Amino acid sequence: MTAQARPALIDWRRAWTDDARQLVAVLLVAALAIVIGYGVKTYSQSQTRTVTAGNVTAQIPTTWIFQPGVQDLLFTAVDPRNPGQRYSVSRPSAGGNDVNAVADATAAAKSQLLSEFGVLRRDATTVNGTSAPSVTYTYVTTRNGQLPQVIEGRDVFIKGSGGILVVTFESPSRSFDNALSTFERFAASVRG
Amino acid sequence: MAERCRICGEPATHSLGSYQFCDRHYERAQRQRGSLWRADLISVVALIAFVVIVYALDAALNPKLSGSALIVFGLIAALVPAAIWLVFFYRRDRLEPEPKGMVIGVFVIGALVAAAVGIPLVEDWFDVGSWLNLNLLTQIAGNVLVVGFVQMTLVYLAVRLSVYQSSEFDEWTDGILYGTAAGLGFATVLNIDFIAGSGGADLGLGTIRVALTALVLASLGGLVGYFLGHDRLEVRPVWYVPAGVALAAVLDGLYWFLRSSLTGGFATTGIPSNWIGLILAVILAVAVTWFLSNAVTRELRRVVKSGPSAQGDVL
Repeated sequence: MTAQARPALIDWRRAWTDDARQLVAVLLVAALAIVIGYGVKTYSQSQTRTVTAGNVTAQIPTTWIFQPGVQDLLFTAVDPRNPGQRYSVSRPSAGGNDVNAVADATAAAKSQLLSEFGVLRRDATTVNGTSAPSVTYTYVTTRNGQLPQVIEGRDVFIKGSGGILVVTFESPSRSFDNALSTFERFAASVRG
Repeated sequence: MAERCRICGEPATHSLGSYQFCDRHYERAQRQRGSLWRADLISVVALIAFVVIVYALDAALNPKLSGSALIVFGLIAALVPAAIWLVFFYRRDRLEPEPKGMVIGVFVIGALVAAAVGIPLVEDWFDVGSWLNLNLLTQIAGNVLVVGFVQMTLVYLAVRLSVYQSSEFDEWTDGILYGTAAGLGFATVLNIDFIAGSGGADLGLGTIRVALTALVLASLGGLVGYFLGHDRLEVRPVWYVPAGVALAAVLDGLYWFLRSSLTGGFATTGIPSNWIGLILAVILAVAVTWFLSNAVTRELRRVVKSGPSAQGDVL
Protein backbone atom coordinates (compact mmCIF):
# COMPACT_ATOMS: atom_id res chain seq x y z
CA MET A 1 0.00 0.00 0.00
CA THR A 2 1.41 3.41 -0.93
CA ALA A 3 1.82 6.28 1.51
CA GLN A 4 -0.86 8.27 -0.34
CA ALA A 5 -3.38 5.46 -0.26
CA ARG A 6 -3.17 4.93 3.50
CA PRO A 7 -4.64 8.31 4.56
CA ALA A 8 -7.43 7.87 2.03
CA LEU A 9 -8.34 4.51 3.58
CA ILE A 10 -8.31 6.03 7.07
CA ASP A 11 -10.58 8.88 5.91
CA TRP A 12 -12.96 6.35 4.38
CA ARG A 13 -13.09 4.39 7.65
CA ARG A 14 -13.77 7.56 9.63
CA ALA A 15 -16.58 8.51 7.27
CA TRP A 16 -18.10 5.02 7.45
CA THR A 17 -19.81 5.77 10.74
CA ASP A 18 -23.10 4.43 12.07
CA ASP A 19 -24.82 7.46 10.50
CA ALA A 20 -23.34 6.73 7.07
CA ARG A 21 -24.24 3.05 7.29
CA GLN A 22 -27.87 3.92 8.10
CA LEU A 23 -28.04 6.39 5.19
CA VAL A 24 -26.67 3.85 2.71
CA ALA A 25 -28.99 1.15 4.10
CA VAL A 26 -32.05 3.40 3.67
CA LEU A 27 -31.05 4.23 0.10
CA LEU A 28 -30.54 0.53 -0.69
CA VAL A 29 -33.91 -0.47 0.77
CA ALA A 30 -35.68 2.37 -1.06
CA ALA A 31 -33.94 1.52 -4.33
CA LEU A 32 -34.93 -2.15 -3.96
CA ALA A 33 -38.57 -1.19 -3.29
CA ILE A 34 -38.66 1.15 -6.27
CA VAL A 35 -37.08 -1.44 -8.60
CA ILE A 36 -39.70 -4.01 -7.51
CA GLY A 37 -42.38 -1.33 -7.98
CA TYR A 38 -41.11 -0.75 -11.52
CA GLY A 39 -41.31 -4.49 -12.11
CA VAL A 40 -44.95 -4.51 -10.94
CA LYS A 41 -45.68 -1.62 -13.31
CA THR A 42 -44.04 -3.37 -16.28
CA TYR A 43 -45.77 -6.68 -15.53
CA SER A 44 -49.20 -5.12 -15.06
CA GLN A 45 -48.95 -3.14 -18.28
CA SER A 46 -47.97 -6.27 -20.20
CA GLN A 47 -51.09 -8.14 -19.04
CA THR A 48 -53.39 -7.14 -21.88
CA ARG A 49 -55.56 -8.93 -24.43
CA THR A 50 -56.76 -7.97 -27.85
CA VAL A 51 -60.50 -7.46 -28.33
CA THR A 52 -62.11 -7.26 -31.75
CA ALA A 53 -65.41 -5.85 -32.98
CA GLY A 54 -65.91 -5.83 -36.73
CA ASN A 55 -62.52 -4.93 -38.12
CA VAL A 56 -61.61 -2.75 -35.11
CA THR A 57 -59.21 -4.05 -32.46
CA ALA A 58 -57.98 -2.65 -29.15
CA GLN A 59 -55.78 -3.74 -26.25
CA ILE A 60 -57.40 -3.92 -22.81
CA PRO A 61 -56.11 -5.29 -19.48
CA THR A 62 -56.93 -8.96 -19.01
CA THR A 63 -59.04 -8.17 -15.95
CA TRP A 64 -61.41 -5.83 -17.81
CA ILE A 65 -64.86 -6.90 -19.04
CA PHE A 66 -65.55 -6.71 -22.77
CA GLN A 67 -69.10 -6.03 -23.97
CA PRO A 68 -69.90 -6.05 -27.71
CA GLY A 69 -72.11 -3.15 -28.81
CA VAL A 70 -74.95 -2.67 -31.26
CA GLN A 71 -75.46 -0.27 -34.18
CA ASP A 72 -72.82 2.52 -34.07
CA LEU A 73 -71.36 1.32 -30.79
CA LEU A 74 -68.74 -1.32 -31.55
CA PHE A 75 -67.83 -2.35 -28.01
CA THR A 76 -67.45 -1.21 -24.41
CA ALA A 77 -64.76 -2.20 -21.91
CA VAL A 78 -65.20 -1.85 -18.15
CA ASP A 79 -62.70 -2.16 -15.32
CA PRO A 80 -64.59 -4.17 -12.67
CA ARG A 81 -62.68 -2.36 -9.92
CA ASN A 82 -63.99 0.95 -11.25
CA PRO A 83 -67.39 0.00 -12.64
CA GLY A 84 -68.39 3.63 -13.11
CA GLN A 85 -65.66 4.08 -15.72
CA ARG A 86 -66.43 3.00 -19.27
CA TYR A 87 -64.16 2.85 -22.30
CA SER A 88 -65.85 2.43 -25.66
CA VAL A 89 -65.31 2.63 -29.39
CA SER A 90 -68.02 3.55 -31.90
CA ARG A 91 -68.19 4.24 -35.61
CA PRO A 92 -70.91 6.83 -36.17
CA SER A 93 -72.87 6.68 -39.38
CA ALA A 94 -73.49 10.45 -39.35
CA GLY A 95 -70.86 13.00 -40.32
CA GLY A 96 -69.05 11.18 -43.10
CA ASN A 97 -65.25 11.12 -43.14
CA ASP A 98 -64.61 14.62 -41.80
CA VAL A 99 -63.43 14.29 -38.18
CA ASN A 100 -64.65 17.77 -37.24
CA ALA A 101 -68.08 17.13 -38.75
CA VAL A 102 -68.29 13.83 -36.84
CA ALA A 103 -67.24 15.63 -33.64
CA ASP A 104 -70.01 18.20 -34.15
CA ALA A 105 -72.60 15.53 -34.93
CA THR A 106 -71.58 13.42 -31.94
CA ALA A 107 -71.81 16.35 -29.52
CA ALA A 108 -75.17 17.35 -30.97
CA ALA A 109 -76.50 13.82 -30.61
CA LYS A 110 -75.33 13.54 -27.00
CA SER A 111 -76.89 16.89 -26.14
CA GLN A 112 -80.24 15.43 -27.22
CA LEU A 113 -79.81 12.20 -25.24
CA LEU A 114 -78.01 13.15 -22.03
CA SER A 115 -79.37 15.22 -19.15
CA GLU A 116 -77.61 18.56 -18.44
CA PHE A 117 -75.12 17.83 -21.22
CA GLY A 118 -72.46 20.48 -21.74
CA VAL A 119 -69.17 20.65 -23.61
CA LEU A 120 -66.34 21.60 -21.25
CA ARG A 121 -63.69 22.10 -23.90
CA ARG A 122 -62.79 21.16 -27.40
CA ASP A 123 -59.18 20.76 -28.37
CA ALA A 124 -56.77 18.39 -30.07
CA THR A 125 -54.88 15.46 -28.61
CA THR A 126 -52.11 13.32 -30.05
CA VAL A 127 -52.83 9.64 -30.67
CA ASN A 128 -49.96 7.53 -32.03
CA GLY A 129 -48.22 10.68 -33.21
CA THR A 130 -51.27 12.00 -35.06
CA SER A 131 -53.35 14.97 -33.97
CA ALA A 132 -56.97 14.07 -33.26
CA PRO A 133 -59.90 16.29 -32.23
CA SER A 134 -61.03 15.77 -28.65
CA VAL A 135 -64.25 16.87 -26.95
CA THR A 136 -64.52 16.82 -23.14
CA TYR A 137 -68.07 17.00 -21.85
CA THR A 138 -70.19 16.48 -18.77
CA TYR A 139 -73.74 15.35 -18.00
CA VAL A 140 -75.80 14.13 -15.09
CA THR A 141 -77.09 10.58 -14.77
CA THR A 142 -80.68 10.29 -13.60
CA ARG A 143 -81.29 6.58 -13.14
CA ASN A 144 -84.33 5.46 -11.14
CA GLY A 145 -83.50 4.63 -7.53
CA GLN A 146 -80.05 6.25 -7.64
CA LEU A 147 -78.77 9.67 -6.69
CA PRO A 148 -77.91 11.89 -9.67
CA GLN A 149 -74.24 11.68 -10.51
CA VAL A 150 -72.06 14.07 -12.48
CA ILE A 151 -70.31 12.19 -15.29
CA GLU A 152 -67.34 13.56 -17.17
CA GLY A 153 -66.49 12.18 -20.59
CA ARG A 154 -64.06 12.59 -23.42
CA ASP A 155 -64.46 11.68 -27.09
CA VAL A 156 -61.37 11.35 -29.26
CA PHE A 157 -61.97 11.17 -33.01
CA ILE A 158 -59.49 9.15 -35.06
CA LYS A 159 -59.48 8.20 -38.70
CA GLY A 160 -59.88 4.48 -39.33
CA SER A 161 -59.81 2.54 -42.58
CA GLY A 162 -63.61 2.08 -42.48
CA GLY A 163 -64.48 5.60 -41.31
CA ILE A 164 -64.07 7.83 -38.28
CA LEU A 165 -63.77 6.01 -34.96
CA VAL A 166 -64.91 7.68 -31.74
CA VAL A 167 -62.96 6.49 -28.74
CA THR A 168 -64.86 7.47 -25.59
CA PHE A 169 -64.09 7.49 -21.90
CA GLU A 170 -66.72 8.28 -19.27
CA SER A 171 -66.24 8.38 -15.51
CA PRO A 172 -67.77 9.88 -12.37
CA SER A 173 -66.35 13.39 -12.36
CA ARG A 174 -64.23 12.98 -9.22
CA SER A 175 -62.19 10.10 -10.65
CA PHE A 176 -62.04 11.29 -14.26
CA ASP A 177 -58.59 12.89 -14.16
CA ASN A 178 -56.97 9.91 -12.41
CA ALA A 179 -57.89 7.57 -15.26
CA LEU A 180 -56.98 9.79 -18.20
CA SER A 181 -53.59 8.20 -18.77
CA THR A 182 -55.27 4.76 -18.88
CA PHE A 183 -57.67 6.15 -21.46
CA GLU A 184 -54.79 7.54 -23.51
CA ARG A 185 -53.17 4.09 -23.61
CA PHE A 186 -56.51 2.53 -24.55
CA ALA A 187 -57.05 5.09 -27.34
CA ALA A 188 -53.54 4.52 -28.66
CA SER A 189 -54.23 0.78 -28.94
CA VAL A 190 -57.34 1.16 -31.13
CA ARG A 191 -56.80 0.00 -34.71
CA GLY A 192 -59.25 -0.40 -37.58
CA MET B 1 -7.43 11.36 23.07
CA ALA B 2 -10.32 13.04 25.00
CA GLU B 3 -13.79 11.98 23.93
CA ARG B 4 -15.91 14.64 22.27
CA CYS B 5 -19.65 15.33 22.49
CA ARG B 6 -21.46 13.77 19.50
CA ILE B 7 -23.62 16.86 19.11
CA CYS B 8 -21.36 19.90 19.63
CA GLY B 9 -17.82 18.54 19.70
CA GLU B 10 -17.08 19.89 23.20
CA PRO B 11 -15.28 17.61 25.68
CA ALA B 12 -17.63 14.78 26.65
CA THR B 13 -18.65 14.06 30.23
CA HIS B 14 -21.29 11.34 29.77
CA SER B 15 -22.07 8.48 27.47
CA LEU B 16 -25.26 6.91 26.14
CA GLY B 17 -24.34 3.55 24.70
CA SER B 18 -21.39 4.16 22.39
CA TYR B 19 -22.02 7.89 21.93
CA GLN B 20 -20.44 10.59 24.11
CA PHE B 21 -22.14 13.81 25.26
CA CYS B 22 -21.29 17.00 27.14
CA ASP B 23 -23.35 17.96 30.23
CA ARG B 24 -25.74 20.16 28.26
CA HIS B 25 -26.49 17.69 25.50
CA TYR B 26 -26.65 14.73 27.89
CA GLU B 27 -29.41 16.57 29.73
CA ARG B 28 -31.17 17.49 26.47
CA ALA B 29 -30.92 13.92 25.19
CA GLN B 30 -33.15 12.89 28.11
CA ARG B 31 -35.74 15.65 27.71
CA GLN B 32 -39.27 15.02 26.47
CA ARG B 33 -40.86 17.86 24.51
CA GLY B 34 -44.49 17.62 25.63
CA SER B 35 -45.43 20.65 23.57
CA LEU B 36 -45.01 18.62 20.39
CA TRP B 37 -47.76 16.11 21.21
CA ARG B 38 -50.15 18.84 22.29
CA ALA B 39 -49.43 20.85 19.13
CA ASP B 40 -49.95 17.73 16.99
CA LEU B 41 -53.28 16.82 18.56
CA ILE B 42 -54.60 20.41 18.66
CA SER B 43 -53.59 20.79 15.00
CA VAL B 44 -55.62 17.69 14.11
CA VAL B 45 -58.67 19.14 15.89
CA ALA B 46 -58.15 22.60 14.34
CA LEU B 47 -57.76 21.08 10.88
CA ILE B 48 -60.99 19.11 11.23
CA ALA B 49 -62.74 22.29 12.40
CA PHE B 50 -61.35 24.14 9.35
CA VAL B 51 -62.65 21.44 7.00
CA VAL B 52 -66.08 21.33 8.63
CA ILE B 53 -66.42 25.13 8.53
CA VAL B 54 -65.38 25.40 4.85
CA TYR B 55 -67.58 22.45 3.88
CA ALA B 56 -70.59 23.91 5.76
CA LEU B 57 -70.05 27.36 4.24
CA ASP B 58 -69.72 25.82 0.79
CA ALA B 59 -72.96 23.89 1.26
CA ALA B 60 -74.86 26.82 2.79
CA LEU B 61 -73.68 29.67 0.55
CA ASN B 62 -72.87 27.63 -2.58
CA PRO B 63 -70.40 30.28 -3.78
CA LYS B 64 -69.81 30.35 -7.52
CA LEU B 65 -66.04 30.55 -7.56
CA SER B 66 -64.38 29.71 -10.83
CA GLY B 67 -61.11 30.05 -12.67
CA SER B 68 -58.41 32.02 -10.90
CA ALA B 69 -60.56 32.77 -7.81
CA LEU B 70 -61.00 29.04 -7.19
CA ILE B 71 -57.28 28.40 -7.69
CA VAL B 72 -56.33 31.23 -5.32
CA PHE B 73 -58.65 29.86 -2.64
CA GLY B 74 -57.26 26.38 -3.21
CA LEU B 75 -53.68 27.57 -2.85
CA ILE B 76 -54.52 29.37 0.40
CA ALA B 77 -56.26 26.22 1.66
CA ALA B 78 -53.14 24.19 0.77
CA LEU B 79 -51.05 26.33 3.13
CA VAL B 80 -53.52 26.24 6.03
CA PRO B 81 -52.47 22.85 7.54
CA ALA B 82 -48.82 23.92 7.77
CA ALA B 83 -49.78 27.31 9.21
CA ILE B 84 -52.03 25.72 11.85
CA TRP B 85 -49.33 23.28 12.96
CA LEU B 86 -46.58 25.92 13.10
CA VAL B 87 -48.75 28.35 15.07
CA PHE B 88 -49.77 25.79 17.67
CA PHE B 89 -46.28 24.35 17.93
CA TYR B 90 -44.61 27.70 18.56
CA ARG B 91 -47.31 28.84 20.97
CA ARG B 92 -46.62 25.75 23.07
CA ASP B 93 -42.86 25.62 22.67
CA ARG B 94 -41.95 28.98 24.19
CA LEU B 95 -39.69 27.68 26.98
CA GLU B 96 -36.91 26.44 24.73
CA PRO B 97 -38.09 26.73 21.17
CA GLU B 98 -36.43 25.16 18.17
CA PRO B 99 -35.06 27.86 15.83
CA LYS B 100 -37.96 28.97 13.64
CA GLY B 101 -35.66 29.32 10.64
CA MET B 102 -34.52 25.72 11.01
CA VAL B 103 -38.05 24.30 11.20
CA ILE B 104 -39.29 26.45 8.30
CA GLY B 105 -36.13 25.57 6.36
CA VAL B 106 -36.85 21.84 6.67
CA PHE B 107 -40.47 22.53 5.66
CA VAL B 108 -39.20 24.29 2.52
CA ILE B 109 -36.75 21.47 1.74
CA GLY B 110 -39.62 18.95 2.07
CA ALA B 111 -41.63 21.08 -0.37
CA LEU B 112 -38.73 21.39 -2.81
CA VAL B 113 -37.95 17.67 -2.94
CA ALA B 114 -41.65 16.98 -3.54
CA ALA B 115 -41.72 19.42 -6.46
CA ALA B 116 -38.32 18.52 -7.90
CA VAL B 117 -38.26 14.75 -7.39
CA GLY B 118 -41.39 13.30 -5.76
CA ILE B 119 -44.11 14.43 -8.16
CA PRO B 120 -42.08 14.00 -11.38
CA LEU B 121 -40.94 10.53 -10.28
CA VAL B 122 -44.36 9.21 -9.27
CA GLU B 123 -46.62 10.93 -11.80
CA ASP B 124 -44.39 11.24 -14.86
CA TRP B 125 -41.70 8.58 -14.72
CA PHE B 126 -43.80 5.88 -13.03
CA ASP B 127 -47.03 7.25 -14.55
CA VAL B 128 -48.96 5.58 -11.73
CA GLY B 129 -52.30 6.81 -13.08
CA SER B 130 -52.03 4.41 -16.03
CA TRP B 131 -51.55 1.19 -14.10
CA LEU B 132 -52.11 1.64 -10.37
CA ASN B 133 -55.79 0.72 -10.45
CA LEU B 134 -55.57 -2.23 -12.84
CA ASN B 135 -56.11 -4.82 -10.09
CA LEU B 136 -55.73 -5.44 -6.38
CA LEU B 137 -52.04 -6.43 -6.65
CA THR B 138 -51.04 -3.30 -8.55
CA GLN B 139 -53.05 -1.12 -6.19
CA ILE B 140 -51.35 -2.44 -3.05
CA ALA B 141 -47.87 -2.96 -4.51
CA GLY B 142 -47.87 0.31 -6.43
CA ASN B 143 -49.10 2.39 -3.51
CA VAL B 144 -46.59 0.86 -1.08
CA LEU B 145 -43.51 0.31 -3.27
CA VAL B 146 -43.75 3.41 -5.43
CA VAL B 147 -45.89 6.07 -3.73
CA GLY B 148 -45.05 5.13 -0.13
CA PHE B 149 -41.33 4.53 -0.56
CA VAL B 150 -40.75 7.57 -2.78
CA GLN B 151 -42.58 9.90 -0.38
CA MET B 152 -41.08 8.57 2.84
CA THR B 153 -37.53 8.24 1.47
CA LEU B 154 -37.64 11.84 0.30
CA VAL B 155 -38.98 13.01 3.67
CA TYR B 156 -36.15 11.06 5.32
CA LEU B 157 -33.54 12.62 3.01
CA ALA B 158 -34.98 16.12 3.58
CA VAL B 159 -34.17 15.76 7.29
CA ARG B 160 -31.11 13.53 7.09
CA LEU B 161 -29.20 15.71 4.64
CA SER B 162 -30.10 19.04 6.25
CA VAL B 163 -30.72 19.50 9.96
CA TYR B 164 -29.63 16.02 11.15
CA GLN B 165 -25.95 16.99 11.50
CA SER B 166 -26.82 20.30 13.16
CA SER B 167 -26.23 20.91 16.87
CA GLU B 168 -29.93 21.83 17.10
CA PHE B 169 -30.83 18.19 16.43
CA ASP B 170 -30.14 17.13 20.00
CA GLU B 171 -33.34 15.71 21.53
CA TRP B 172 -35.36 12.55 21.04
CA THR B 173 -38.33 14.52 19.80
CA ASP B 174 -36.33 16.69 17.38
CA GLY B 175 -36.48 13.97 14.73
CA ILE B 176 -40.28 13.86 15.05
CA LEU B 177 -40.50 17.65 14.91
CA TYR B 178 -38.34 18.01 11.79
CA GLY B 179 -39.86 14.91 10.16
CA THR B 180 -43.31 16.43 10.65
CA ALA B 181 -42.12 19.73 9.14
CA ALA B 182 -40.65 17.92 6.08
CA GLY B 183 -43.85 15.86 5.68
CA LEU B 184 -45.97 19.00 5.84
CA GLY B 185 -43.79 20.69 3.21
CA PHE B 186 -44.16 17.64 0.97
CA ALA B 187 -47.95 17.59 1.51
CA THR B 188 -48.27 21.30 0.76
CA VAL B 189 -46.69 20.88 -2.67
CA LEU B 190 -48.81 17.78 -3.40
CA ASN B 191 -51.89 19.83 -2.55
CA ILE B 192 -50.82 22.79 -4.67
CA ASP B 193 -50.13 20.39 -7.55
CA PHE B 194 -53.57 18.82 -7.12
CA ILE B 195 -55.36 22.18 -7.04
CA ALA B 196 -53.42 23.66 -9.95
CA GLY B 197 -53.82 20.44 -11.95
CA SER B 198 -57.58 20.29 -11.48
CA GLY B 199 -58.09 23.96 -12.31
CA GLY B 200 -59.14 24.78 -8.76
CA ALA B 201 -60.80 22.05 -6.74
CA ASP B 202 -64.38 22.21 -5.48
CA LEU B 203 -64.25 24.20 -2.20
CA GLY B 204 -65.56 21.54 0.17
CA LEU B 205 -64.02 18.50 -1.50
CA GLY B 206 -60.73 20.31 -2.11
CA THR B 207 -60.44 21.24 1.55
CA ILE B 208 -60.99 17.61 2.58
CA ARG B 209 -58.26 16.51 0.17
CA VAL B 210 -55.84 19.15 1.48
CA ALA B 211 -56.48 18.17 5.10
CA LEU B 212 -56.11 14.42 4.66
CA THR B 213 -52.89 14.73 2.62
CA ALA B 214 -51.38 17.00 5.28
CA LEU B 215 -52.45 14.71 8.15
CA VAL B 216 -51.04 11.56 6.56
CA LEU B 217 -47.69 12.99 5.43
CA ALA B 218 -47.10 15.03 8.58
CA SER B 219 -47.78 12.10 10.92
CA LEU B 220 -45.77 9.61 8.87
CA GLY B 221 -42.98 12.17 8.47
CA GLY B 222 -42.97 12.30 12.28
CA LEU B 223 -42.69 8.50 12.37
CA VAL B 224 -39.65 8.55 10.05
CA GLY B 225 -38.21 11.33 12.23
CA TYR B 226 -38.63 9.24 15.39
CA PHE B 227 -36.28 6.58 14.02
CA LEU B 228 -33.83 9.26 12.87
CA GLY B 229 -33.91 10.96 16.28
CA HIS B 230 -33.31 7.68 18.07
CA ASP B 231 -30.38 6.90 15.77
CA ARG B 232 -28.91 10.35 16.45
CA LEU B 233 -28.67 9.76 20.20
CA GLU B 234 -28.00 6.02 20.45
CA VAL B 235 -26.15 3.55 18.28
CA ARG B 236 -28.79 1.42 16.58
CA PRO B 237 -28.51 -1.69 14.40
CA VAL B 238 -27.97 -0.93 10.71
CA TRP B 239 -31.51 -2.08 9.85
CA TYR B 240 -33.13 0.28 12.36
CA VAL B 241 -33.68 3.46 10.31
CA PRO B 242 -34.42 1.54 7.06
CA ALA B 243 -37.06 -0.39 9.02
CA GLY B 244 -38.58 2.89 10.20
CA VAL B 245 -38.70 4.32 6.68
CA ALA B 246 -40.17 1.03 5.40
CA LEU B 247 -42.83 1.02 8.15
CA ALA B 248 -43.84 4.58 7.26
CA ALA B 249 -43.86 3.71 3.53
CA VAL B 250 -46.10 0.67 4.12
CA LEU B 251 -48.54 2.71 6.23
CA ASP B 252 -48.48 5.49 3.62
CA GLY B 253 -49.17 3.08 0.75
CA LEU B 254 -51.88 1.21 2.62
CA TYR B 255 -53.58 4.49 3.48
CA TRP B 256 -53.76 5.59 -0.18
CA PHE B 257 -54.89 2.09 -1.19
CA LEU B 258 -57.68 2.06 1.41
CA ARG B 259 -58.72 5.57 0.56
CA SER B 260 -59.06 4.85 -3.16
CA SER B 261 -60.78 1.51 -2.49
CA LEU B 262 -63.31 2.93 -0.02
CA THR B 263 -64.06 6.07 -2.01
CA GLY B 264 -63.90 4.51 -5.47
CA GLY B 265 -67.57 4.87 -6.31
CA PHE B 266 -69.05 1.85 -4.60
CA ALA B 267 -68.69 2.66 -0.94
CA THR B 268 -71.37 0.94 1.11
CA THR B 269 -70.44 2.15 4.57
CA GLY B 270 -73.27 4.66 4.83
CA ILE B 271 -70.74 7.46 5.39
CA PRO B 272 -70.44 9.96 2.54
CA SER B 273 -67.45 8.62 0.60
CA ASN B 274 -65.66 12.00 0.51
CA TRP B 275 -65.33 11.95 4.29
CA ILE B 276 -64.02 8.38 4.56
CA GLY B 277 -60.52 9.40 3.48
CA LEU B 278 -60.44 12.16 6.08
CA ILE B 279 -61.70 9.85 8.83
CA LEU B 280 -58.98 7.32 7.95
CA ALA B 281 -56.35 10.09 7.97
CA VAL B 282 -57.47 11.32 11.41
CA ILE B 283 -57.32 7.76 12.78
CA LEU B 284 -53.83 7.31 11.33
CA ALA B 285 -52.56 10.67 12.63
CA VAL B 286 -53.91 10.13 16.17
CA ALA B 287 -52.62 6.54 16.28
CA VAL B 288 -49.13 7.56 15.10
CA THR B 289 -48.99 10.47 17.57
CA TRP B 290 -50.10 8.18 20.40
CA PHE B 291 -47.49 5.58 19.40
CA LEU B 292 -44.69 8.15 19.17
CA SER B 293 -45.59 9.76 22.50
CA ASN B 294 -45.54 6.38 24.23
CA ALA B 295 -42.40 5.22 22.46
CA VAL B 296 -40.42 8.34 23.39
CA THR B 297 -41.65 8.21 27.00
CA ARG B 298 -40.70 4.54 27.26
CA GLU B 299 -37.26 5.04 25.76
CA LEU B 300 -36.49 8.07 27.94
CA ARG B 301 -37.58 6.14 31.03
CA ARG B 302 -35.18 3.36 30.03
CA VAL B 303 -32.32 5.82 29.54
CA VAL B 304 -32.96 7.55 32.88
CA LYS B 305 -33.34 4.23 34.70
CA SER B 306 -30.01 2.97 33.35
CA GLY B 307 -28.54 6.29 34.59
CA PRO B 308 -24.97 7.55 34.65
CA SER B 309 -23.79 4.61 36.70
CA ALA B 310 -24.98 2.16 34.10
CA GLN B 311 -24.08 4.30 31.09
CA GLY B 312 -20.90 5.53 32.70
CA ASP B 313 -19.26 8.94 33.09
CA VAL B 314 -16.51 9.60 30.66
CA LEU B 315 -14.40 11.66 32.98
